Amino acid sequence: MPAFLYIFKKKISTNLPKDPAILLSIIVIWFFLLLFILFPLSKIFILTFEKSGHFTLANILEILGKRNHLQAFWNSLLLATLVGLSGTVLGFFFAFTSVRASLSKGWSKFLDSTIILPLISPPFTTAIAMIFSFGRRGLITYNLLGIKTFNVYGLHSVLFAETITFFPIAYLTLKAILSGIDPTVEDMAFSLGSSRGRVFKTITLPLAIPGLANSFLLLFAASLADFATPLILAGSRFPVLPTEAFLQITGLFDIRGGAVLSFILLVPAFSVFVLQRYWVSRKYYVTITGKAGAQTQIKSVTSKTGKFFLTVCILISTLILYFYVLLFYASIVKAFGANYQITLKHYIVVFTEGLKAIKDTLFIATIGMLLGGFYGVIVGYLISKKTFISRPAMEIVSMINYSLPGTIVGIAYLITFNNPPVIITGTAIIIIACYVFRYGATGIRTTMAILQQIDPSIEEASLSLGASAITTFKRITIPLILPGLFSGLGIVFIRSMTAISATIFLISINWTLITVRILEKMTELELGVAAAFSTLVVVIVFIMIIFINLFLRLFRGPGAIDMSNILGG
Amino acid sequence: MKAIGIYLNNIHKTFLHRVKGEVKAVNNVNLNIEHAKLVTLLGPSGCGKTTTLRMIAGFEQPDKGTIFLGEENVTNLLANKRNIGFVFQNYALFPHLSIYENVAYGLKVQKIPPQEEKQRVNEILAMVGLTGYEAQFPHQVSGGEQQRVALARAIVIRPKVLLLDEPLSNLDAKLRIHTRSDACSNL
Repeated sequence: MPAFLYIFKKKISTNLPKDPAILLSIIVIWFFLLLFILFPLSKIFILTFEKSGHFTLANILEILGKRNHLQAFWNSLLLATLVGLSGTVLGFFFAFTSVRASLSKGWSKFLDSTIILPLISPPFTTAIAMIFSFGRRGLITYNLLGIKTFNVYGLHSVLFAETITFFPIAYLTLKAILSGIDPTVEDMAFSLGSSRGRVFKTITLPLAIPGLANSFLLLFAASLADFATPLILAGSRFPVLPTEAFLQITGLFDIRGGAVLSFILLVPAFSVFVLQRYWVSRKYYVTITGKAGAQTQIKSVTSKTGKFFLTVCILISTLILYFYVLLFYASIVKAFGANYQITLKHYIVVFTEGLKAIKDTLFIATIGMLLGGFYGVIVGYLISKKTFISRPAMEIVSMINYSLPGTIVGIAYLITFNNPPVIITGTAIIIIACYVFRYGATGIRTTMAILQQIDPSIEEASLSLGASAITTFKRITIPLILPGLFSGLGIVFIRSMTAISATIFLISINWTLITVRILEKMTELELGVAAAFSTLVVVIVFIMIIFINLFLRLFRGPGAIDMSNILGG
Repeated sequence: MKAIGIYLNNIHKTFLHRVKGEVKAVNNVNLNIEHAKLVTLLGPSGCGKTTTLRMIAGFEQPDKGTIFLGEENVTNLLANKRNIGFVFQNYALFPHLSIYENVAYGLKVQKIPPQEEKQRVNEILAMVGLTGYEAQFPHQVSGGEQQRVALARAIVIRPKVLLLDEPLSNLDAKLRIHTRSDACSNL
């Protein structure tokens, strides 16, 4: 039988490279990667380093020469560092409590589902709720504490809102690390006489360090790229790069200046990406295991400490829930802060004046999801199952738009597709292309992860049991792939619903988006309508997630939705 | 040294299993092991050998019954207060510490002076044939060597009792016989 399999495999591998369909799809994909990823990016470089046909650093120096812009650069780095630190600490605290404090099933589910909320919401949600809560007429500052002078705008608020929004990424990263630590290793340290505190200090914490570094970099990148929170909460005294680039273009109509600013943003973003991908991700400790140890009743914390930790976690989760309740409440009262009479008028605005934005968003998200899913599966399949010369390059290039801050991608598209050879500014195509080549990358990742998980011996086992290659593909391969594919599609849809940082540059009179409407309503101080729009997006995203979970349960497959990919931005 | 025996009286332990519901892992075990004896627990898979060892070491609490080490009732004593050497089935080496630091861990906890610590670690490493491996990390050495590190780490603290949970199951047949006779002559 092994001889037969060997022949069978050989037949496949010699047949396919000759397959013209594969060759053709490689060429087509490269065409699109060049057009929608490398070409726009090169435009940013050209605008940054070129002046009347010559290479120059004058553009960068000129932009950085303005005090405001230099300040924005340092502010961005400062904010990202602080968010990275505070989010990692908070995420570690939650992860440690969740994995080590022997929580009951109910509590651990409560924590899990609450802190996922900020990740799946439109990027403004926490920021808007902060204004309702701590603003001039805020529920807590004004109504509860009677403070009239509290300033909600500035570093402190952005830091707080971004920490709440992004710490779930740290939580998910660190939870995987902590639950991956072999419990017998900690048992062993106890047995050698260590106290609980010492086990934590000498074993648990050092083993988690690569995870902590990874989560710091992920949060740093997320904060660096975040556009929505600083736009609403930073105020004029705390400019950051993404908002400065946006204002440079929409306020001063200085496209070159915006491109240069986004290039300045690209440098730290790219460094962090490289560090995270190629340095930290290789630093994980290999756990030395012969045979998995017996499941242990972990006693890392006393039950008293455990209860204390759980209480703190519940309080923070309650704060998050409070933000969402507040958002909903603000959407059903006449004028938050002044008139608390229940009304549906904001929703009427949403479904009349805002109906076009809803229709446009759903249309674009649906098309983006289908095309993005299709693109993700094909590229993922090619990269993980086929060998061709340009394969490593394809893997890197396909990830670029996903890894860069949305502001850069948006500006690159804006300056590229406004002029020949390809003019698609003002159409739905430019927004859809942006989504497909940005969020489709999650589809590539999912497909690759699934294909790697499928041990060739699974398919071989089916063949050896007498099933034909076609039956094997139908009964074994497809059911294994489908759940992951479906969650990949869901992620593209959800991210398309909540995206703003790139698409804010790409909307037009013909095509607009809900997230952009939320922003407009915020600036027009129609906070009730903004809250109603936000509530609507949260509800749509929730329906989508329930749908995905139902589907996954139906197929009982692996590849549960990876929440860290849903992050809005 | 004072004579130390292990005495288990009417030990019960029940686990909740996902499929089978409540499982009696250990059902009314009485066992007296006298001082300086080498005893093997033998039985089919799932009969409670590991659970019994883990209760002696203090990783699990018996539902019922008492455990004595010598005259001392240790039933409710934490694992880190029992001074028992334990070698796990999977060795449970500290992956972020070198082999020297792995072996020295217990001595550092006991606040043994550095001079003595160094001497004892070197002695033990020589005994298990790992002199020269001090700076290596667990993932850099072979399975048999990892196993000997685990053994060295457990005996260097001079425990009252040494428990080995299938310490040889991950070694190949030849190495297993070799290590077994080694261990027997050392203990």
